[in-house]
Formats: sequence, structure tokens, C-alpha cells
Amino acid sequence: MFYLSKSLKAAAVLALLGTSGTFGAAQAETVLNRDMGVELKTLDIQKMHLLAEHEFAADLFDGLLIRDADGNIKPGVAESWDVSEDGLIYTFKLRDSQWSNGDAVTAGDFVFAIRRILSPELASKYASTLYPITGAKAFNKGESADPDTIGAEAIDDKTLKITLSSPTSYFLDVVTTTAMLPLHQASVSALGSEYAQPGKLISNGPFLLTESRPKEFALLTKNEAYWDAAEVALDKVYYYQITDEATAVRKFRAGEVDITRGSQGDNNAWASQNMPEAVQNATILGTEWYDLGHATPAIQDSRVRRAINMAIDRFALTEDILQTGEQPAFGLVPPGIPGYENASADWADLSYIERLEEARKLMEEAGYGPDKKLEFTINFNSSELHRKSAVALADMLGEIYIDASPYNRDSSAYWDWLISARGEYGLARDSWVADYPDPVVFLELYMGPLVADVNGNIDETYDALMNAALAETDTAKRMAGLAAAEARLMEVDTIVPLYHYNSVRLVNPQLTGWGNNPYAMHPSRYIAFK
Amino acid sequence: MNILILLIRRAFSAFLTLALTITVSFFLMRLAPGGPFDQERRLPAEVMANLKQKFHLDKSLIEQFWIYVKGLTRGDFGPSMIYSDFSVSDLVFQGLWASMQIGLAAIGVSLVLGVLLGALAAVRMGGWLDQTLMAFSLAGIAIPTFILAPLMSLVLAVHLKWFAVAGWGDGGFYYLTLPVVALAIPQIGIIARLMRGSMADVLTQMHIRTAHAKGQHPLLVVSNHAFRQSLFPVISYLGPAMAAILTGSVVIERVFAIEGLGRHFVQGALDRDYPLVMGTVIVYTTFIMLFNFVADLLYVLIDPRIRETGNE
Amino acid sequence: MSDGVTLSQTNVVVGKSLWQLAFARFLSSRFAVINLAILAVIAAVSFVAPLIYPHSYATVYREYILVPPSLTAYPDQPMTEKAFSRLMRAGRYQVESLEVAEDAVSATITARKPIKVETLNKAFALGSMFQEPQIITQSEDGKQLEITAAINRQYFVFGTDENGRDLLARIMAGGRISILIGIAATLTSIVIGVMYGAIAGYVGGRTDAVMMRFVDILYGIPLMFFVIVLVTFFGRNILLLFVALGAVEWLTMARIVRGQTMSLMQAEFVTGARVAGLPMWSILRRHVLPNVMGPVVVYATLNMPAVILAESFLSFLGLGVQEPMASWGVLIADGARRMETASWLLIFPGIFLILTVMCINFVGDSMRDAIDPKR
Repeated sequence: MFYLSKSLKAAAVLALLGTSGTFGAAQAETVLNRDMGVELKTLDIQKMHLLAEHEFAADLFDGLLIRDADGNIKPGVAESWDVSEDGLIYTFKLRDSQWSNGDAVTAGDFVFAIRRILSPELASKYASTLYPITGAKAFNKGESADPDTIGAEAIDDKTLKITLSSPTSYFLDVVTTTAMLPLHQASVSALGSEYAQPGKLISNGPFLLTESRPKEFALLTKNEAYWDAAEVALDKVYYYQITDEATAVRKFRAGEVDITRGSQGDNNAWASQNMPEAVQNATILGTEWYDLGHATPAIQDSRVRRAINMAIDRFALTEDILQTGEQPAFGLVPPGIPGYENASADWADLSYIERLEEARKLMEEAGYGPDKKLEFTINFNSSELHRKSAVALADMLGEIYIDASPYNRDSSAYWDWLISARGEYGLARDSWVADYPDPVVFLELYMGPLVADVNGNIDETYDALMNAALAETDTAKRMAGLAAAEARLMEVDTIVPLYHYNSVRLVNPQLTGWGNNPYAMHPSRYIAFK
Repeated sequence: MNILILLIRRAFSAFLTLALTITVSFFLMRLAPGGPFDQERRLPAEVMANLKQKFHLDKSLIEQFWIYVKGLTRGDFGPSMIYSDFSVSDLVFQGLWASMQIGLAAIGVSLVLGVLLGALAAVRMGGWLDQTLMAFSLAGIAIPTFILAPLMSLVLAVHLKWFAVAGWGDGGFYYLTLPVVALAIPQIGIIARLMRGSMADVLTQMHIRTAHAKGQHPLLVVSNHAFRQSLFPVISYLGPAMAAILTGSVVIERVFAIEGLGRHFVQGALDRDYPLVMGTVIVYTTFIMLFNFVADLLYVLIDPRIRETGNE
Repeated sequence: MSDGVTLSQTNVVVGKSLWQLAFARFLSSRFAVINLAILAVIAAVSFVAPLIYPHSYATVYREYILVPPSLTAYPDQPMTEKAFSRLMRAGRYQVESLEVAEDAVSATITARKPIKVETLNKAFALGSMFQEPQIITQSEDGKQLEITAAINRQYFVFGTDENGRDLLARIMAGGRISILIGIAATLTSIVIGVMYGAIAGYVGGRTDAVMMRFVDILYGIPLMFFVIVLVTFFGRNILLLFVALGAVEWLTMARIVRGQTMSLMQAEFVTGARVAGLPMWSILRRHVLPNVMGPVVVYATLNMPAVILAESFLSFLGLGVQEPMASWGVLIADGARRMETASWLLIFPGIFLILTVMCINFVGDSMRDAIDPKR
């Protein structure tokens, strides 16, 4: 029981005291200590951008729709909703619920929030999530200054109408995101960005913000005015912001935190060996891949690209280097998107030996051999995991007459370099994690001319396939069209997919209500102590 | 009079140092690849444009420098580009508060222990005590903090549960002992070695020998004459010690999850949070100069001969 | 102002005999010689041993990821089984039976299609653990084979890292980088510091005041932070590390040399040379530099460990050298993360680094004592 949370121990001690002496002593508080693993960059939910921040926002605010512990969409502030036949108009009926200061939550609060996040002056990083709404993009780009052009309208206090520019099958998923959370109009208008400070923040979710020490922790306390407060078990939640992975693990072991991402750098080796019951592992909607530099003459040779793709032993990578049950990837889109059948590379079924043989043959045809090796760099952004992968990749490519050297840049320099290199490299690390289950999130990354920035490759056939799929209104046909595009992506070896992401957390086994879901969202409202 | 001249000179050179630091770091940073909004989750061009406009990053470098310096003259360090709720002054002074507490505590601990151990070793020069103490102080210097700190945290906090693993907590002994000790250990080693060396010098000097000859107790000799004089190198090391402790706190603050200046600096540099890095560099520079100055003042106060020349 | 090393400022060395005396004094200290010997061994391990050592710092042994240090040869039985099953999976063969002996494995394997010997050989060529398999029997349809393959035994005395690279080979490579960074940065600081200090001390007057004021100004700047900024912003170039660390360390050197030069300026042989009209450069070269070299060498020696530690500090922040190169700092920073699950990754490079730093310090101390015999 060494990982028993200290707070819980305190609670137990208090409880003992309570039975032995004091009558009717105040019930001990249940306190959850969770580590975000990143620093909370802002308290203004509309400026939040990272997964960990969205988790935090979901504790403070309640959207129209929310996700349950397993990631399924369920009603939040919206009691019910309708979608028009053409899939363009969404009408939400709001339940009676209150802000933490007692004001009623109205449809106007949602309209206000949508207008605010889209305003160019706020410069929200997450604003583009709402681009499916008609007029949203133009307003955010500053092309239209009239907020009425945005397709969000309060019919009355309890009815919200959202108009989309084109049918968006995943729009209900968008509604669950931080971008669609309401704001308390009066306080935000009066205070500006200050509205989010502890003591000032008026929220409508299961918890209230009590204290915030930047880069250290934020303290949340239960919101008794929350419409579903009866279901919330915790009294207090500390969100710690520990950036050193080893420190986070030590804190977990000492019972100072109940939830942490642990250490990715060593695959949470200690926890897996010594307390496997605490390791929670869930497949999420994310993929790790390498971009092939299509502007480099050697890489322009389709045989070389195919050979590189075939020579990577993804099983060796996931089992020896990552060791946390990731799924090897043979395509860009992660598995588990409802209605989508993943298109993987046609060589994926060959055995590794067959692939290697084929790859060597291709390289020889392209003019390479033991005495004439192809040289390039494997570029990645600093992280222990990326570095280990890059070293393993270089070793695997050594099998097919490639002399690849890993090259490491710090994160900011790397992502800036990737855009400016325009495909003039050998391999460059890339990744994406989706906030909602739609293949487009991944596939649109390779539509021209955007992709020219990443790997210098505009493939008109791919663009045509994508555009055809995106114009499709029938879901099944749309998904089939997208799968065809993904197949094309692998057919011309635009990228080298490696594996699909897992979200690993160390979770105090005394907790209940933990659900593993593809969004890595684990709001505190479902969590309780046994 | 001489102290006044010293003060004026110092103020002037401090101004020059700051001006140089600000200019060099501003342009150095901007030469670097990457910006505050280049990140793994690539931002759409529209969003990027909004952000750049907001922080004047779309203007020319000279214009940006001008805006920054204008802000500085008003005492405004600018907004943080990453931590959008805070101004850089908020962050830097919060960080400074934390860093200073553990930094000063560490300086205090290392001064007291370093001087005592060094003096002890010098008095017992060549004996087993001397050799043991010197081996330990050298080990303290040679073992990198980033090994020592996690080890201490693992053994003393996770296993023995004497201290907190990490965090500021209530700012009490339970939380801050480990960071302070980890920060102090290399400095204890350095100061002990300095003290031993200078005290050995002083002890061999003639007048001490004379004092011996007069039949005073050796311990009295040590406390009266040698001790005070041996302190000079230690005092002049105060400035570099502060710089070393501030540098060391970069590691300590990360290992012990303390939101100090060091973390702001490193994270700021990695995030390309330009104003935050500038703010921390300015504060660091000021502090190191301040400590060099305090060391000089102490020097002047202790040794009247130096007052004559005003420098060196 | 004294700067960490207390050197007698009036100690003027004239002629060779004093140097020889100092050298003799140095050698007469057994402790100093022992430390010097340890350093020589470490240098030999880093620079010479790689020529004869069987593993390269860059070679990945995929079957031997994170194996603990051992004086007996690898692989052990579970490793062999695991590696064998990996090879079989790569070739899509089913293992019917497997027997692991001391230096060979024998197995019965099947496949859905007739097994091509050529392909089978390629599967075995994938790693380094097995030699080419020998076929003992073959079923009629060719889908089942009984094979045996000899095991290549290898030593990983210090264990392997997370990519399956030999740790000792990486420590050797790391030693080369760390020691070179230490030496190069120290040389940089000597060159800049001695020139600057000697000129300031020689010319004196207003020029000296301005030059020293500039040093004071630089003292106020947190230079280590500039190194961090430089390295973050301009990539991890080894050369850049050398120069950046050297550029940080020259200030104290300049002060020491200036002080020494100033006191030398009063010496008769220097005043004589000036009267004789010798140009500044030749006076500096012939009369001043040889005489300041003692304290300079001592300070440089004591400075080297600081540079090596500074490099490891940068590595901890993730700003070390590029793969597949390593430095002790990089190895230790990696090991620190694996402290409990693969302690050898921390212990061995740690021993090398700490031993080196301590020995250089002891040698520096002994040198100071030898040059400055008044102690």
C-alpha cells in the first residue's frame, strides 16, 4: 500500500480520530493529486491547446456535450439536440443550469464564447477547431469584422442554433472540445483575460478554481452549484505541473501524486516492473511517422522511398524500444475510427525478411550497394524516445545500403526547420494526435499546397481523391473515399509510418472511475477513491 | 570618499554590463532558428498570423528592439509569449522569490560549512582528517548535481520518507531541505578547499610564526589572526559562487519541481519565449553584479589597505 | 582579486633549473604520480583501447538491449530463445521445437510455403547472435526443417544501453569527447586569457584600465547562460561547445596573467630588455610568457574538470553532442533516468567522470605545490 495517497492517509487518520473521539467531526475531504506533466500555460480556457490543458478545462467547465469516462459523448449543458436533414444546422436545447455565481447558463453565453475565441485579437491557438461553423474562418482571419456572420445564434435563452458551412460528420465531437465551452458573459466582458484568475473565474463545471501557482499547481474545489454535483465524489483536485519525468515518478511512488504520465523516456520501466497494476495503457488517436524529403533527388526515386519504408521493422521498434504495447503503423490514420477501414501499405503483409530482400533489390536497382551507400540525416526533435527510435531506424536502414545519421534539434528549432526545409532532407520526424475521430484530421495534412511545406510533395492524384471524398455527403462513401486517399499516400510512399500512439498513465490503484479512452481525457468528475 | 568613487564606478560599469547584456541577448536570441509558436501541434497559418501580430513579431527586428527597450525604460519587461496570463515581471519576480530563498540558504550553508571544514583541514594539514575532508569536498565538486539530487530524493524521500520528493509545499524544512543541500554541496567543497588553501598560506606567514614563538595556544592563533585573513579568497569567491548557485538551480529546480528563475530561463529558451528569457537574463546579471559588489564592499571593510587604491 | 586559485603573485621563475626542480618535486609526491597514472589509464582507455576493443560505440546489437554487465559471455538461454523467436517471426516461420545448448541452437521449424534456404539464411543474418544455420533434415514437401545454428558468444563487460550498444565502447567514445572538450576549451581560454592579460599588464595605464573594466563587465554577465542560449539556438556542434566553454573560462586567466605580467614588469631583465629597445612581442614572448606559464598551467589544470562538468550539465539539459557520438555527460544523463532499472548505465560512466575530475584536481594541486614550494 506504499502508493496510498498521502491525502488519503490523512483522511484515514482523521476518520479514526472521528470514531474514537470527536462527535460529528467534519467529514475528511477527499483530495485528488494529479500531475499534468506540462506547465499550465494559461488559465484562459480559450487559449488552451494541449491535451493536458483540455483535461483541466473539462474539470472547470461543462460544454453542451461532454464525454463519459470511456470517451462516449453524452449530454452536458444540452438536454437534447437536433440535426437538420442536410447536416448543416444543429439545434441544442439547454437544461436549467447555473454558473458558480448563481446566474443561469444561457445560449447567449455560448454565442459569446464562440465569438470571443474566433476573434483575431485573442489569437487563440485552438480557434481553428471551430472552422466548420459558417463564417468562423473568415471572422478569425479578420476578413469579416461582423460577429453576426458567424453561424452561432441564440434563438432564446435555452436554444442554441449552430450553422455549418458544409456537413461535418464529426461536429458533435467538436462540440465536446474546449473550443465550444461557454463563458460567463458579464464577468469576461468586464475583466478581459483576467476573468480566469482564481477568485474571479465564474465557471459552470464540476469544480471551481480556488488557487493557482504558475508552473507549480492549480487547486480546484467542488462546485456545489453544478447541475450534476451529486455524481462528483472529490472535494479537491490539485493539478501539479511537473516537467521532469523522473521527479513525477518519484512523487507518484511516494504517494504525493495519484495520477501522472510517468516517464516516457524509459517507457515507465520501473512502474511496469514493480507496480504493473498502476500502469494504465490506452490506444489513442495518434500516429508517429517520418516524412520523406521529396525535394531531395535521392528520395525522389520511388524505389528508394519504397525500400526505406519496407526496411523498417516496426515490431522491433514497438517491442524493444517503446515496450508499452504500441501498435505498429502501416498507414497514417490510427485504427479505431468508427466507420473507417484503414488502408495500409500493400507490402504490410509480407514477412520482414521478404520485405528486406525486396528493399535491397530496389536499392540495387536504384544504383546503391555495399560500396555505394546512400547518405542522409534522420531529423527529430529532442526527446529520449525520439532519439532511441532514430538510432534504431539508422541501424535498420543500414541493412539496405543506407548510411543514416540521427540529427537532433530542440523542439522549436525543429518544427521551424521542418517547414523551411521544404523536403530537402532524408527523413524528418512528424506526428499528430486527433481531438476527434475523423480520418480527415490526419489526411488533410498531406493535401497541397500545405504539404509542400512539410515534405515538398504535392500529389495531384491525392488531392483529387481527397477533394472527391470531402465533397461526399454520404458517410460511408466519404469514408471509403478517404481510405482510397490513404491508400494512395502509401502507394507513392509519401511518408514512413512507424506506430500509433498509446497514452500511458500511472494511476493510483485505489482510484475508481478511471476509464481508458482514445482521447486521453480523464476528467476528475468521474474519479473517486475506493 | 573612496567608497563613493567605488560606488560610482560600479554603477557605471553595471549600466554598461546591463546594456551590453540586453543588446547581445536580444539579437542573439532572434538569430536562432524557431519561434515561440513553432510546436509539434502545427498551427494553421491564420492562427499563426494572429499570434505574430499580437506580439509584434511581424515587425522588423530593429523595431522590435526599440519597442522592447522603450518598455524597459518604463520598467515593463513585456508580456510572456507562452504564459499568456502573465507579464514577464510577474513570472520573473515570482521565480526570483523562490530561487533567492533556496539560493541564499544554500550560500549560507556552504559558507558556514565550507569555512569550518576548510579551517579544520588547514589546522590539521596533512593529517587523516585533512585528507578525508579534502577527498569529500572534492567528491562534492566532482559529482554532478543532476546525479546527486535525484539520488538524494530517491533515498531520503521515496525510501526513507524523511523529506518531500519535490515541490515547494509550504516552503518549510520538509520541502526545501533537499534542494538547498543539493545546491550547497558543490559550493561547500569549493569553499572548503579555498579556505584550506588560504589558511595554510596565512599560517605559514611569518607573523603567525612569531605569535607561535611567543607561546600562545595554537588554537588562539588560528582564531585571532589567521581566520580573518584567510577569509579573503572566500569573500571574493562570493560573486562566482552566486553565479554557480544560480546556474545549479537550473537543475535543482527541475529535479525538485520548484518554479524558480532557472526553470523560467531554460524553459523560456527552449520555448523561444523571448521576453521571458530577456527578463531572466537581466535579473541574473543584476544579481551577479550585486554579489560581486557586496564582495568588494566586504573586502574594503575588512582590509583597510585596499581602501587606499579603491580597486583590486 | 583572487579567483579560486591562490597563487603567489610574486613568484618569478627564472631559467630552466627552477622548472626542473618543480618537476622533480612533483614526481617525488607519490600521491601525484598515482593520480597521473590513473589519468593516463583513463586516457589510454578512451583513445587507444578502441583500436583493439571488439565493439564499436555505434554498433547496435538488437538482441542485446539493456543487458546487465557481466564477465561471462552472452547470450543466456532466455535471450537466445527470444532472439530466435524474433528471427522466426521476421521470416514467418513456426517454431515446433527449440533446444538451446551451450554454443548452438537446434530447432524444428515449419512454414506455410516450402522454406527457401536462401531466405532462411537471410533471416539468420539479421542479427549477430547466430551463424548460418545447418539443415539436418528436411520434410518432403519442404515445409518443415530441422536446423541447427551455432551461437556467436559476445562479451558486454559493462552491459549495453537502451539501443543495444556496448556501454564500454560508448564510455570510450564519450571519454574522447569529454577529454577533448576539456582540453580544447582550456586551450581556448589559455590563448585568449594569456594574450589579453599579458597585453593589458604590459601596456598598463589607461589601456589596461579599459581592458580590465571590460573583463569586469563580462564577469557580471551570466556566461553559462549564454552558453545555453548559444547551444540551444545554434545546434549541438562539438566545435561550438569547445569554443563556447572556452570563451566563458578565459576571464580569470586574463586576470591572473595580467597580475603576473605587472609584477614582472618591475623585474630587472624586463626593464633591461625594454631599455634595449626590444619590441613588445619579443619581450612578451621571451621574458614574460615563460614566467607566467607556471600559474597558467596550474589554473588551466584546475579549470579542466570544471569544463568537463559544464559539458555534462549541458547534456543533462538535453544539449549534448549528436548521436551516435556520446560524451560522459550524455551517458550519465541517460543513466540518471535509468537509475533503478539499469543502474549500470549511471554507475560506469559516473565512475569514469568522477575519477577523472578528481584526479585532474589532485594533479593540479600537486603541481601548484611543486611550483610554489613555500607551502
